[in-house]
Amino acid sequence: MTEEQMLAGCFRNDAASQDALYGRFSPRMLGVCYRFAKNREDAEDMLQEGFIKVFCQIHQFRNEGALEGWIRRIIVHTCINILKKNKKFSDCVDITQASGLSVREENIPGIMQAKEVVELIRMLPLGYKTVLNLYAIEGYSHKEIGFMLDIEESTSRSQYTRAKMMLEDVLIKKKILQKPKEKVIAGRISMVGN
Amino acid sequence: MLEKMESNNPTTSFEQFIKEQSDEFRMYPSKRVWNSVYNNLHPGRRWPSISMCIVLLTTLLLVGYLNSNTRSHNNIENTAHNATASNQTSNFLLNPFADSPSNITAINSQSVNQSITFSTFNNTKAVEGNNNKSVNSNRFKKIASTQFYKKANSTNNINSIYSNKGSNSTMPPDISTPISVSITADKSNSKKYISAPQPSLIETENEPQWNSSKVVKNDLDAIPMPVSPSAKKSLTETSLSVSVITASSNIPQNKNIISETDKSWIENYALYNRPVAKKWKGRVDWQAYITPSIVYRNLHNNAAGKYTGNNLQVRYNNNIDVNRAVKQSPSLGLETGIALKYQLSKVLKISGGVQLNYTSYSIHAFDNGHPNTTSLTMYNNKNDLLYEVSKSTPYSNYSGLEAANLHNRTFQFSIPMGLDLKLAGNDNVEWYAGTTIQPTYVIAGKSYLISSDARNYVKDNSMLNHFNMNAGFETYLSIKKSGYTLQVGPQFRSQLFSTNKLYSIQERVQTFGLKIGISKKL
Repeated sequence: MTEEQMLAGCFRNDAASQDALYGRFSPRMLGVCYRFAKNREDAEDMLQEGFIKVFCQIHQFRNEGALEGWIRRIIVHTCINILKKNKKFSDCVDITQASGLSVREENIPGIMQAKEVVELIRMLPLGYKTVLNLYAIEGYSHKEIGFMLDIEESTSRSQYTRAKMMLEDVLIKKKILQKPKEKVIAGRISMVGN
Repeated sequence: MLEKMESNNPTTSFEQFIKEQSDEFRMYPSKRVWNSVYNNLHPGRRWPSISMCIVLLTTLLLVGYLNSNTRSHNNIENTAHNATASNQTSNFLLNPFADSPSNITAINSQSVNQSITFSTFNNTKAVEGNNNKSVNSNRFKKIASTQFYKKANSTNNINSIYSNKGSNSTMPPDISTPISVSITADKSNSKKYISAPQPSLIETENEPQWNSSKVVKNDLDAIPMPVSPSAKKSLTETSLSVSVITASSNIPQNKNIISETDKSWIENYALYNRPVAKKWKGRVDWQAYITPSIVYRNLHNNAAGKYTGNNLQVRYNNNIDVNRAVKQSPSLGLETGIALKYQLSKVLKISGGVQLNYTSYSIHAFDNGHPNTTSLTMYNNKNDLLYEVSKSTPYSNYSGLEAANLHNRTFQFSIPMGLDLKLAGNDNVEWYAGTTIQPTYVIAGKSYLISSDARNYVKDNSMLNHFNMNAGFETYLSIKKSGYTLQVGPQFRSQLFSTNKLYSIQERVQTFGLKIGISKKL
């Protein structure tokens, strides 16, 4: 079934088309939800709510952009809304300091790098994780993130900076990333030059 | 491994690397999600789901009935018992991935030459209940593992092995090299882990190959296996050797397309890494509230129309309309408390808590400055007995030296338990109606009672009924803001039994208040 056929079917509230659309996009969208959620169950709840919104609002989709992008935006917003309902979220997302992330080598099996990276992102503190997900992966600006999470833009920036440092550190420890030696050298040279 | 690492290192930026990696990640939702979505979109088509549930239940019952076959059960139990009772050194035979990567195939070959060999099971997706292609093999597996575990604990031997996500994460289905894994217990660690072997993936220029020499490394020792205390002791003294006999399947050809192995790893990893769910988590709110109220009372003469013997005065007194005979006015009261509210469903909450109440209403009387003799009418409704008790009091209901404002007041402790029903609302504002029943203990108070002839007020605190019951009705708006929820709404609270015991004038306190509460999720 092509995307156009699926869309036309979904406009008619046709169950088969909805099933096809769900089948096509749900694995990736569950991956998105999983990055925001605490566990798989929560991620599935987010996915469920998100897809209900998608199908209910499908008539608002104009063929101006990619369908996946449109669905993804709805899913991300649903995730954020669900997170915001959690009373701890508002506390966590405003905290700009968090203790370091300790990851044992054994915690994550070295099977697939993508999975490993996602699991490491999920291990970040809630506020860090959310901002990093929104900024680095979903491509929202700090201003938009501030609006979405009811926090200051500067808070979003600092959260992201710390999240990035923390994640980079762990990725390097786990030898997924290498230390950016060139940059350090370049920085030293420029400092000497100044 | 290094080649893989280097080839995947970001060349542009951290964000790009993270995004690329995250975009590659996919998970497969369970059927439950689609069913819920479907039922939401097509509410009228739930009958197929119900029919499917009935079919499923019937199937389960049938499987349960077949499982109750005592002959096969006993065979396995006997074999398992013999195997586990032998000694503390056990050999495990695994054929983990005959068709897919998480099958336990054989367990425990003993030094006493009593071995158990289980036939190859099909796909372990059956663990999640998604793929029950082979009822017999699953049934066999269930029985065997159950019996083994029981016997292992009871005989202080660990003779069972738990194979789960770890073993199926990357195991290529076509490994046929024997693998030896040693399981030892660490005395310093209170948790004992028994892990399944896991091969590592080495990518070459052409295609990935599996390095069986790395299988010895155990990547997943975070998977705990519960070990009984008695078994722990045994385990610390024992080194268990494990031999893997065979494994077979195909090497994945295209790493960009998510393979069955990966899919199953994702599903299993997520399944077994679920945190212990707290069922009440996110469903319980604590609430603190205060209810300033107007307190009034409802008087009812229990002895109205009744009289003792031929005493015409008593007969007359008991026919007085007590509500007309007294001058009383409402006064301010207060209720404050804390409660826990548990969300039973989307629209229903149950609550319980503790509450302190102060009730008071005013009586306009006169102080004579000297005591007068009067009487109170008592009525025992158990045996329909009416009698008078003599009292003395300086307070008059009609006239006196000076006006006196008396207060009938109580300090109460109650335990409200109730139900809240959501009537309407959106994400931020909700409208609820609630009711509570409140067992109440009257800690202290003052009680001025109208005399039999309605001419005097008698102070008699001993007449206070210490145990009582109240009922509350309320409706409120619940407004969510910054993680807290504010509740505001009117409340009506009524005392169900009389304030005073035996006294013929039943007094029931009623309060009308504005409840202001704040709540937060636990």
